[in-house]
Amino acid sequence: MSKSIGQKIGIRFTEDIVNLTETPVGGHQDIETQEGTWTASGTYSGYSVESLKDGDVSTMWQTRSTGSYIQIELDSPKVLTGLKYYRTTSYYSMGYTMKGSQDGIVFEDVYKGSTPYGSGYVTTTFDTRTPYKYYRLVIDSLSNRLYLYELILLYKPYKNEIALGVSGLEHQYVNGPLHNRKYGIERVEKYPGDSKALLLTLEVYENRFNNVEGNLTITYDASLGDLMGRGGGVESFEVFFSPTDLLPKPNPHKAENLTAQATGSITLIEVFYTQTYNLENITLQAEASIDFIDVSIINP
Amino acid sequence: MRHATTSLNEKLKTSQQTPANKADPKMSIQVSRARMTVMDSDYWKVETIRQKDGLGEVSVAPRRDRPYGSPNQIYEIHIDNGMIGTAIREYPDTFEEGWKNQFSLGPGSSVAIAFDGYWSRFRKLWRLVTEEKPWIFWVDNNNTLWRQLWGDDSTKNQLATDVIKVKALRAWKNVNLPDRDQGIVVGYIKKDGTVWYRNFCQQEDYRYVWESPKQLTQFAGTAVSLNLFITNDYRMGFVIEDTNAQVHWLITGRNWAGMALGTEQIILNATAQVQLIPVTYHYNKEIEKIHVAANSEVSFLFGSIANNIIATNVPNEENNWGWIIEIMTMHPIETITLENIVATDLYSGTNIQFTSMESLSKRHFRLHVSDIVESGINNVYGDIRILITGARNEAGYTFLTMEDTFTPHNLLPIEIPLPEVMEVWNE
Repeated sequence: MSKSIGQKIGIRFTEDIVNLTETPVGGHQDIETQEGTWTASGTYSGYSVESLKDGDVSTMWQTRSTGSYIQIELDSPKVLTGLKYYRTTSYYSMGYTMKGSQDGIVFEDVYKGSTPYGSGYVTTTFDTRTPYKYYRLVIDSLSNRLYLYELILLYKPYKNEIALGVSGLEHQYVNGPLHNRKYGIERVEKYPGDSKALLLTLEVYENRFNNVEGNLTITYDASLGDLMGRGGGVESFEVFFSPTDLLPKPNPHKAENLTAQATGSITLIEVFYTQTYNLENITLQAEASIDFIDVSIINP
Repeated sequence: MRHATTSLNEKLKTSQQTPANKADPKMSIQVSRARMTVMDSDYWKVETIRQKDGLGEVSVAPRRDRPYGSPNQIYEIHIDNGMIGTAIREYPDTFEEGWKNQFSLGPGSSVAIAFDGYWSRFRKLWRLVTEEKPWIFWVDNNNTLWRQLWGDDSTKNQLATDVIKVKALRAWKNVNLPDRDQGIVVGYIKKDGTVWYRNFCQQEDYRYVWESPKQLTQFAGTAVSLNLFITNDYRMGFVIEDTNAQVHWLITGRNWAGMALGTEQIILNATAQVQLIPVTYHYNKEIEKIHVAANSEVSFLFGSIANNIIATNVPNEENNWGWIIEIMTMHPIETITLENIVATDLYSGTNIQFTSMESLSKRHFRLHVSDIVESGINNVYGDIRILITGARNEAGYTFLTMEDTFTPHNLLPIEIPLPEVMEVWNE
């Protein structure tokens, strides 16, 4: 693997790192849970939120109003990485936002999604690295009613992957503005053959720092991680370094002109004027809507 | 009570109290009393208990074996010319048999009597349904305070020494929470004028125990007399007279939950379905009957989710205080694992690792610090915070987050440097 792609970082300490929870081979797997205290707003009478975690796909939680939500207070903060829910073809449709909060008061958006047509379990995964104690599934839209039979939360037991952080400044595109970018860490492990060092591997594809401008910042939150030396736990730190030998592949964004052709078909209905007073004009407007999906020319 | 005003006093002193002198005083006295509990006509019934020369203290207690109606017997203990005696009387004394002397307890100077029992509610009124026999208490001529369950001398035992006066009372016992029992309270004055008490009450484990003597330290004077009382708002108290003829009141908090509040009712409808299988009788000898009984049972389980913890470090077998942290909780924890516990060294912000947890009881846990850090917690500079999340109570509910911060003591720091970042590179 080339140093130029900006995917691995080594950190050497003054003392041996005698203990840490390393990322398992193959990465963390999703864990299903229905723990915690579940409450709901907008529940239709007689269809309790408890039905969502009774293991019975014949009992349901039902709502008939948008803005309803299911709130879960977990036993301890967790990084939610997906949802698994059971729906049938009857009143299945919903648009939803998954929100997270540390205090149950101020919520931040984690993921937006919608239910696909069908019957059975649906699993939706999303990428976030922030642990929350409170999660709220807000129903943004529905079709008269929503029948939801089971709801299971998926989480990954991240530890040092979220205790350590990597960030740096990048141009949004060539000659564009700089913005601070956080790079998700996929693996934390002991550096092979060096008891004083760690090796961080960033997530593949979208999380490489080869385009970083200047220094990278490495942070560590001791309250989330468990890096230990013989004298005690590694204290929280923030260090900077300038990565070398990177091969930038900046976003080649530029203003582009797109031409779209709309073909309209007009059917005229014959009209008989019995009393013609004025000359009449008929004006037609064709409106085209184009979705532009960016597909990079660089295949990582 | 109101004092007469100065002007009224002056008019009362004038020699000619006439309307012309504006001195024709009239006084109207109004006495009000709570009619719900005290009715002048029949609330107080005065009866003579005992008349005799040389009579000392007399203490009586009515026995009530039902929560309604009148008591059915009265028990008494008295001092007659320095000798302690006991007596009983029927109530009401329909056949006018009077007091029947029972047994003697020898010479003494002070006596008291109280029934144990339980409070029962009948027609909105709580009444003490008593045991069969009362407890009696007396001070002998050696100033020793004794207790005994009426005539059963196998229950005789010493309660205190250097006592000069004793009083007893059955105080409030909460009907729902067994450990909220004030018990039979035996208050007594010692020779030095201090006031003490012992109580016989139910404990959390449902046992009845004579608790150890406790001094009423709130009373700082020298007592010469005392009495005990209970109030209608579920308190009990002491009235103490000191050597300056001052009377002091000491009163407890309310012991009311479940008594002042109504009980809740859960009504369930039981639906039974019976399916009969057709039976073909070939030799029908007698008529057969089938009885179906519906039996349902409801368990009501509630457990508070609020709990408190106290944490501290304790020595291990080698008297090293850097390896064990003990946690004690206010309420029992049914389910808890190491995953529920986060211990943080607040000075460095790092978490402390544990290898195992011992449950000494459901309220007492011992955490063994991991030897990954060679000094254990001996190098912790400041406080340690313990957070417990996700623990469950006996009813299966998750406790609210419990937190305690303590300063570890008796540590022996060992100089081992912490790892610090020396170099970072990309590769």
